[in-house]
Amino acid sequence: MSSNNKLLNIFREGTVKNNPVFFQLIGLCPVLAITISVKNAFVMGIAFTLVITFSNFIISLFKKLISAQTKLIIYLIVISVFVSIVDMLLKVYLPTVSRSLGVFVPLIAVNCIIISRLDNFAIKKNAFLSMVDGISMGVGFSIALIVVAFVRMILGTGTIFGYNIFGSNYKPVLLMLSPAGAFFTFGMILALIQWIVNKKEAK
Amino acid sequence: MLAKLFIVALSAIFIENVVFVKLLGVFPIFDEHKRIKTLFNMGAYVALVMVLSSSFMFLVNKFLIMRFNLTYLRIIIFVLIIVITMKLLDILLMKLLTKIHNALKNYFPYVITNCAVLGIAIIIIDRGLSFFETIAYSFFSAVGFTLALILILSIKEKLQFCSVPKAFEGAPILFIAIALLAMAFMGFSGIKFPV
Repeated sequence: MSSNNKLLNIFREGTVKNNPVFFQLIGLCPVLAITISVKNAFVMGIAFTLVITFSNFIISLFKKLISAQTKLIIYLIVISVFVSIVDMLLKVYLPTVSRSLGVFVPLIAVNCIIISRLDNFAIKKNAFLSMVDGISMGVGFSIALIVVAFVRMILGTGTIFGYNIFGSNYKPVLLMLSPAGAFFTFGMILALIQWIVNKKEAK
Repeated sequence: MLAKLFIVALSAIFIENVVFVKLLGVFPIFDEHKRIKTLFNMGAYVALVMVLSSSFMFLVNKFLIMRFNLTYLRIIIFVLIIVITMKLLDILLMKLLTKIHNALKNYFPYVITNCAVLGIAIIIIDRGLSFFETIAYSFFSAVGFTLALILILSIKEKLQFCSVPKAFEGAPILFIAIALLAMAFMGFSGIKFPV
């Protein structure tokens, strides 16, 4: 029972309570750059989750062999091996999505969320817990990506999955698909979260 | 030659600004203890790392990866090149310029996990620029990066004296300010050069 609770706690920590994107504000480059469509965001989230889960697992398996001086290099090598695998899989099975994600798939290799999780969690805990932590962080990151992409896509194109929500008279706000729209959407979402947190604290 | 340099500089600093247009390397702005003066140090360091690592990558890409058809190892090799470049710089600075090394020591983790260094290098290689253009483009990208950080930091300092709604305090209002800046940088995207 207690171990179950612990797992649930780790999962809640990564996805909601301590969401890497919304509360720690790290690893923002992909969140702002590739969230033009929900499909891209979804694929990116899956790729990220796979990479962080497996690298957490590998690092926590070999934690006794890693010395303090070389640990950063070892982290980066392990991460970039998995990023290469994911990159190749995407290129074969989803070539169009891979092309529109572009440089941001290789950039998972230097994502600060993964490095900070490896350094703060995987190097200290056992392999199973590290995998759960990786999945929770990945899901939290994917939720952030999908939320931002959802807002930008609805306002920027007026359609979601082919449905026209605002009717045919709606003129899409093209600004939302540009970098400025990304910053604006993200700022607004952060403000909403802060508002909710403030309300909860006031209660 | 000079005209080309000018074009590369203009496009790397303004038209394709790393932070506002390419959305790479956004996060160091949230570090609390940043002054504009220390940002110049950081910018110089980023420029050094970017130029060195992207020229190494250019050479490795041309003479190793392309020749032996090792494209599948690209990401690993590039990440390793960045780490090795930074370690070498670290050792060199520590031996030669101890004072500067002490000032820069805190930035190492920022630069290594910054998407801008790897991202710019991959963009340069995918575009197939020449060696001269690689050096110029990476240098001016770092200049654009520093410019963006300075702009954002000065806005952040002014924001401390404004009274914003409670929900917007801190990061949200900063992001909206950055959105306005990015909108201003969109104006540059109309500039086209005769190639």
